[in-house]
Amino acid sequence: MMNPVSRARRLARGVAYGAPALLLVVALVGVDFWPFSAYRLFSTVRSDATSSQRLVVSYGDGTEQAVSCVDHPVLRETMRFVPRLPDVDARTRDVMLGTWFADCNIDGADVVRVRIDKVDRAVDPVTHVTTETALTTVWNEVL
Amino acid sequence: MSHLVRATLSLAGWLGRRFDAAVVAPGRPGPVVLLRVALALIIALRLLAHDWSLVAERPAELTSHLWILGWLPGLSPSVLVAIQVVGLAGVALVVIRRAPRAGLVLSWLSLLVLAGLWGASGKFHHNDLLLLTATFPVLFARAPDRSNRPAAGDVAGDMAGDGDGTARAITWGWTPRAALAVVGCVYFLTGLQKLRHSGLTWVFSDNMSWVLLQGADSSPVSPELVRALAETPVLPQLLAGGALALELGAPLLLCWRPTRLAFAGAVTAMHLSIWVCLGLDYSPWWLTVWAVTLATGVPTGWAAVRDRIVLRRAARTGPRAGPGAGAATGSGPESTLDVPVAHG
Repeated sequence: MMNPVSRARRLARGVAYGAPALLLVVALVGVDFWPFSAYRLFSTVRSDATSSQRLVVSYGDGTEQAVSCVDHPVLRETMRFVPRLPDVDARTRDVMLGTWFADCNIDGADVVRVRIDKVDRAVDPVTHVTTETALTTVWNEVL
Repeated sequence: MSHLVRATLSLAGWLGRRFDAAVVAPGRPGPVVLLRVALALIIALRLLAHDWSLVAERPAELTSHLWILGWLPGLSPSVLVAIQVVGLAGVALVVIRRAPRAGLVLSWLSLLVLAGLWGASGKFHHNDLLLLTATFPVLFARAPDRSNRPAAGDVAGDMAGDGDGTARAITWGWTPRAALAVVGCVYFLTGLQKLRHSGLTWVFSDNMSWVLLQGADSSPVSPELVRALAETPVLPQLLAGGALALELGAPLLLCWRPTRLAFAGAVTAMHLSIWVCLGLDYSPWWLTVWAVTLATGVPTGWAAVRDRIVLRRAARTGPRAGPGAGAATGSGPESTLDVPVAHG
């Protein structure tokens, strides 16, 4: 039977060496699985160009609105799921759109079409004004 | 050649044994008590930072499954608030020193669950990660009893009086050191990933200028100031180089007591500058660094003052001494007044 000192030292080594080793392995494998992280904070090089996807709704009268108005502290970040819309089933898509529409005060009954635009932007190095340099529709769906 | 290899292996073995001996060396209770209370208070700040019940308004279809709880059915607002209350109760147990170990476990689990659920919205949140990771080793630290001896049933055999009236125990020695190692490891990894994914281009290109220009509008202080910084020649490269050097040097800077406070100060400046320039709040990170640093790296004179304060309070409010405590020499609250220095 292990004596208390050996047991204490074993626990000490297990945690003191094991925890940093585990952090290192997870980071090198590149896994982000809470509460483990690859710690890729600002790790890519930025340039003057950025790109994002934008959800746009069209109404029956021909007007359009970008769904960028979500203000809910938790739901705001779910807009990162927009690129998934083309791949999900109809029920999931309705739940996703319904959640965002509700927070943006958009009446889903008035919406006839939704689409996702890929927007390329560039920051002018002199004026610091951001301009859209390219717009590509990557998904277009009639509701 | 074989002599050189043998000598190198011998030196490596000797260094390894020295390092291992330092890791498992017994320590005084002061640093553990201070570290546990400080981490618990930071956890309390984080538990009070959000209305966690808002998580219940997110449908499962918009929840990422980045961890086990992401697969569970949605929790109701009352359950989320109950988890928050349990976490805060755990913090209270730590602060009043009634079952502090269990209290820290409760508060840690509470923040682990709530922060994980909050962040399961498509973007991995790092804000609470250093706090949760650095607290993990401290969960194993046994509570000292009222006379600052290992509590009843603790590893009495690893306890050693050191002639100054203060007991030492292995459990009190390695836990702050492991927290320190975790903090150093996390910062090192953030630097390593920059090198891995971008190389030195991360420092010597216009990278930092674009980071500042693209984030300027989020600055809570002055977007104009941020743009001016981005346009100042060489400054963005200096900021990037300083940040990378600080992150990669974290294990070494935290290894030596004299540089720990400097590291904490530099890290605080870095995170505050990120907040000023980009509006990103990493206060749990630098608060955690200060908690670990103050528990393990303060200069000798201040350490004595710290331990007197912490242990005197512990002697007043701590749990009663267990049966094993009386066997130690110099027991009793008054002995804590003579704690000279805790060397973490």
